[in-house]
Amino acid sequence: MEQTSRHTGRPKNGKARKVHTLRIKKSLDEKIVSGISYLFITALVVVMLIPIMHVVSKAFSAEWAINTGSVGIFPVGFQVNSLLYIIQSKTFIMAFGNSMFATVVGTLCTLAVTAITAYPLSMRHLPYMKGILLIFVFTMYFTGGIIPTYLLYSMYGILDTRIVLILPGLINVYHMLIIKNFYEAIPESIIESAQLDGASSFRIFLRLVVPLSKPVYATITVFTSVILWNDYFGPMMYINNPNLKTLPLYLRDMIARANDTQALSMLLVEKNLSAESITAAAIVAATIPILLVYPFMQRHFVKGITVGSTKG
Amino acid sequence: MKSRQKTPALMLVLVMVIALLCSCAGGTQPPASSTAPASSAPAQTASEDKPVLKALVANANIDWNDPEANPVLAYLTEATGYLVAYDPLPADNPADKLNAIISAGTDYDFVVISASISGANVLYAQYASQGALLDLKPLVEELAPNIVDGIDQSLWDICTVNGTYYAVPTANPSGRDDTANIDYGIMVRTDILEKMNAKMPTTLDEFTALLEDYQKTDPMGNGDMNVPLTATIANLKELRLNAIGGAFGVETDWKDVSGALVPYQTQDGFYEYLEYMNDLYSKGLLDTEMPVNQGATTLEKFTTSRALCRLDGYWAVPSLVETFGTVSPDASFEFIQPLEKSGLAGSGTKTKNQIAGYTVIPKNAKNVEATIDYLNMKLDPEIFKVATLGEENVDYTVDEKGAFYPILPTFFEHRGNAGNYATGTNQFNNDYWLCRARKDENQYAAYCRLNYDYGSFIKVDPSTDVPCDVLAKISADISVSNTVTEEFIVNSVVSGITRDSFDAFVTDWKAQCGDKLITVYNEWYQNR
Amino acid sequence: MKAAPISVKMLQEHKQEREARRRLAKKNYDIYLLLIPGVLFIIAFRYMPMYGYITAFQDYNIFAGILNSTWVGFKHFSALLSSPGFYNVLRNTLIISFGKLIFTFPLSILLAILLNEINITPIKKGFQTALYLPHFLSWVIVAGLVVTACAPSTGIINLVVKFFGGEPVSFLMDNNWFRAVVIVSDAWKEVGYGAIVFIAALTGINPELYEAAKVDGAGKIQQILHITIPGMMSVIVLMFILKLGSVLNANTEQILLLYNPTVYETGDVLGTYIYRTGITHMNYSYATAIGLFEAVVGSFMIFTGNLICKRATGRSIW
Repeated sequence: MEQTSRHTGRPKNGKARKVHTLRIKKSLDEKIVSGISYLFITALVVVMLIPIMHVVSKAFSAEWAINTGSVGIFPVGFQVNSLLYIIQSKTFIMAFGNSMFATVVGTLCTLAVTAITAYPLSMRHLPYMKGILLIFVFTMYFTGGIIPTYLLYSMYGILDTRIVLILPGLINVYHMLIIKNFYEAIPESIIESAQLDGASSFRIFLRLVVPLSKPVYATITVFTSVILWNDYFGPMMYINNPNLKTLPLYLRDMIARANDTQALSMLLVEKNLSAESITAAAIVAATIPILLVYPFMQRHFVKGITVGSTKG
Repeated sequence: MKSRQKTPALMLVLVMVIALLCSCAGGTQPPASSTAPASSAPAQTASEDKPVLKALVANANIDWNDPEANPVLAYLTEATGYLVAYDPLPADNPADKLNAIISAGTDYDFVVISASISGANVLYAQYASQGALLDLKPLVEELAPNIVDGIDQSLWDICTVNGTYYAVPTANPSGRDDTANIDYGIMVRTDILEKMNAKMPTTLDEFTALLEDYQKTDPMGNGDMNVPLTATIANLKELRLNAIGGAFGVETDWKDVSGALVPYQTQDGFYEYLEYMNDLYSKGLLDTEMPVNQGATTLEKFTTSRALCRLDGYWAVPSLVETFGTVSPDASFEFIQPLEKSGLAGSGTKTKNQIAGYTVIPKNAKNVEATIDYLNMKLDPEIFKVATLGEENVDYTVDEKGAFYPILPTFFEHRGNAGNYATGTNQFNNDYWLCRARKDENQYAAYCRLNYDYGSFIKVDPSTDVPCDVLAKISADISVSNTVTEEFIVNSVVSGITRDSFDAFVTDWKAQCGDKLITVYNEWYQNR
Repeated sequence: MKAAPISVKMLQEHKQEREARRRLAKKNYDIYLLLIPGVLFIIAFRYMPMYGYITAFQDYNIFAGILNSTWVGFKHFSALLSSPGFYNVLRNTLIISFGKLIFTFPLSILLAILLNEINITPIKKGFQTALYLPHFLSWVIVAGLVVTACAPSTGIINLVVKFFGGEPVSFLMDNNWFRAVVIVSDAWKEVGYGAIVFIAALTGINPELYEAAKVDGAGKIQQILHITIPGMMSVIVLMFILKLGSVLNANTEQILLLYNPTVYETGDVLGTYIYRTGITHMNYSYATAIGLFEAVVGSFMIFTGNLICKRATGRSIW
C-alpha cells in the first residue's frame, strides 16, 4: 500500500505529478458512478412506489371512486371501512396470531436446521459429502404428488396441527445451497488456524462460522419468513380446523366473499365498500407485518469477514 | 453489547407471546387431532344424548361456526337438538383438498359437495361409483320421511348412480317454477337513449343501428373514447345465451332437433352469430379492448358514460344505482330484451333441476343414524320454513297472494346466510327464495324484467338435466370443448371468420371432443 | 486378455486410498453427526412421498390406491408429448424463462452493485425497502395494474407513446409484445427482492481490497469489474444455475391473469396450457406424469448448468 502524505498529497517516494492527476480522475469517476447510481435507483424506486401507492389508495377510497377509475396515487373519498371490515373480526386476530406463530417458530427452526446442515456439506473434501449433497439436491425437483403427501402426513398424524405448518418445510434446499455457498467463501486460513488450536468442529462452527455468517443468515431469515407468512397451500391442504387458519387463508376468504356479488352486494352497498377496496385493504393488512422483517434484518448485512482475524 | 443481544431475544419472546394469545382468541384451545369438533365456544346448547356431528362444507365465505354471525345456526341447533361443527374447504381449488380428504378415508359425519366447487357433479359421481360413500337410499326411505316427501323425483334421478343414490340433493332455488333463472342481460343507458331520441331496440337490426347512431352522433361528447357496447371475454358466453344468440338460434348449448341433441358448435347459426359479432368488433361498435377487459374495466366505462351498453346480472343493479347516484344522478338504465331477427329470438337457461349441493355421508362416518335423523329434521316443513325465512312479522311478511316479502334489515341479519346451511329442499323453496330476491326494489324489478317481462323468450337447454354419472364420463371432454370453443370464438370475433375457418374448427372440435359428447349425450337423451 | 495388468501395487494403492478416506471420515465423525437431523428430515418428508411417482405410469384411482390401479406404462408421457400445441407451449415457456434470465437476472446484480455505491445509510435502507415492496403484491393485483397500464386508450404507457407522436399499441393483444410485457412486469415485481442475496454477498467483500485498488489508481468502473463482480461470482453462479433449474416454471399464475386467446400463440406456457385444457383435472396420473417430466428437465438443466459453469469459471455447486 502506497503511503501518501496528508499535507501535500505527494507520495513519499516522489512521484508527484502523476498521482495528483490520477487523484482528480478518481474523484470524478467516483462522482459520476455515484451520481448514476442515485439517479437510476431513484427512478427505479419511483417506478416501484407509484403503483403500490395506487393499490394502497384503493384500500382507502370510496366505492364510487373506484368504480369510475378516479383513484390515482392518493385516496379519493377517504374511508377506513374496508380496512376495518378486514381486521375487526375475531377471526382476523386469530388468523394473524396463527401466522405469527408459524412464521416465527418456523423461521427459527428452519434457520437452525438449515444452517447446521449446510456446514458439513460445505466441506467438499470430506468423503461421501458430494453424494449426500446430491441426495438433498435431488429433492429440489423430485417431490411426491399432492395425494401421496397428504396420505403420508395423515399417517404421521400431523394433519390439522400447528406442527404441519412448520415441519414439512424445515429444510429448503435452495436456501441451504445459498448458505453453503457462503460458508465456502470463508477463508480456509481462519478455520485451519482454529483447528490447529484444537477446537472441535462444532465449536468452530458455533464460535467462528456462525458469527461470520450473519449476512446470509439474515438473508435466509427474510426469505423463509416471507415464504412462511405467505404460505397458502400448506395451511389450505393440511388444516381443517378453522381455529388454526392462517392469514393468507383468511384474506383469500375475505376477498372471495367481497367478490361474491350475488349474495352480498346488499351488504357491501350498505357499508359503501367495493370488492376492489376490500381486496386492497386485505393486502395492506397482510403485507405490513412482513415488510418489517427486512428492515430489522438489515443491520445484519454488515461486513463480517475481515482479514486479520486469524488470531486464535 | 450484552443488552443489545438481549433486546432482540426479548422482542422475539414478546412476539411469540402475542402470537399465542391471538391465536387463542378464538376462545377454545385448538384440538390436537382432527377428530374433535372445531367450534368457537358456541352459545347454543345441544341435547345431552345427541352426538356432535362433524361436517365438511364448501367455503361460502362465512364463519360457519359462529351463531352470532349466523343466527340460523343457533336456531337449527335448538330446533333439532344436534350441534354440528363445520369445517369449510378453501375457496381456491377445493376439489384437490376434497379429493385428498375423501381418499384418506375421512370420518366426517356428512360432507356437502356444493356446486360452487367446479365439477361438483363429477366429483359426486366418482366418489359414489368408487365406493367412498354410503348408499343413502335404504337409509332415507326407512328413516327420513321428510326427505322422501320434500325432494322431487326428478332430483333423485339426477343423483342416481348405479341404480341407487348416495346423496341428498339440494336444489338450486329459482324464482321460476318451470326453469332456472335468467340472470343476465344487456343493460342500456336509457337517459342517453332519450338524448338521442331513440327507443329501446327489440330487433337485432335496431340494436345495430342504435350502436352505430351512438358512435356517429356522440351524444355524451366522448369523441373517439366512445364504446357503444363494452364486454369482457367472459361476457361473450352470456351475450350468446341471453342477449344476441337467440337471433341466430344458438341461445342454448344443446338443442332438441327431431328428438336428437345437437350442439351449437355445429350449427349454421353459430357461424352467422360470429360473423355478426366480428362485424360489430371491426366497426368499433363492440369494444376493441374486449380481450383485455376485466369486469372492473367495463364497469368503469359504463359508469363514466363512455359505454352505452354493457352485459351484467340483475344482482349488480343495487351497486350500480348507488354509483350512479353519486357520479351522475341523471343516469338511468334498463335491460334490453333478447334481440330478435327474422322471427328468431330466445334467452337460454337450464332446466329447473339444477343441484346446488350434494349432501353425502362418507363410508367411515361414525354417527350415521344420528346424521340421517338430523337431515330429516331439517326438512320438517316448519323447521325448514323458519330456517329459511325466519320469524313471521319479524323477518318477513306474507301478502294476500302468499308471496313473501323481507323485512329489512332484520331479514338479512337473521337469515342472510341461511342458504349455505341447506341440506335438502322442498317444494316451497322457490317461493322462499323470491323473498330474498325482493330485498332491494331495484334488484327485484330487474329480476322481474329478465324473468317475467321477457319470460316469453325463455328457452330451456334440455341437456342440463343430465344425471351425474353420465356427466362424469364426459367431464374431461366438456372441459376441452369449452377451451377450444372459447379460443375459436375470441379469435373469430377479433380477427374474422370464413366458411373455411369455421369448417376447420368444427372438424377439429369433433375430433378432439365433439363426437364423443354428441354420442354420449344422445345415448342418454334418447333412452330416458 | 485386453485388460491392463493389474499390479499388486495398484491394488494396494486403491486399498490405501479407501482406508485413508475412511480414516478421514472417522476423524471428522462429529461433522457427519451434524448431518443427522437434516438427513432424517429429508427422508421422512421428501423421499417417503416419492412413491407417488409410480402413479405416473398408472391410471391412478385414488380409491383403489396404488396397488390396485391399472398400469399404463408411458401412456401419459406420450399423450403429453403428442398433445396439440405442446411444442409451441414448450417453446414459449423456454423463451420466456430465458428472457427472464437475460433481462431480470443481470438487473438484480446491477441493482445490488449500484445500491452498494450509495453511502448515506438511511437513504440506502429506505431505497432497499422500497425496491423489494413489489414482491409482496400478489399477481392478482400486479396483473390488474399491468392491464390498466397497457390499455390502448387510457393506459399510461400508451399515453406516453401518444405524447411522443406514436400510435397506441394494444400490448396485451399483440403477439409481438406480449412476451415483453410478461418479462418486464415480472422484472418490476422481482428485481428488488432478487437483489437481496447479492447485497448480502457484497458485504462479504473485504473493504481493504477497495482501498488497495484506489491507491493503485483504479477507477470506480475498474473497481467494480475487478473486485465487486469477482467477489460476487460464486453467488452469481449459484443463483444462475438454480434459476436454470426452474426453466419450465415460467410464471403460470402471472400469465393466466394476463393472457387471452389472441396471444396464446406466444404467451401460452406449459402451466397455463395444462390449467386451461383441464387435462389434469381429476386426472392425478397425468398431473404426476407432467410433474415428473418437469422434474427431469429441471434437474437435467441444473446438472448441465453446473457442469458448464465448472468448466467455464471453475466454480460450481458440487
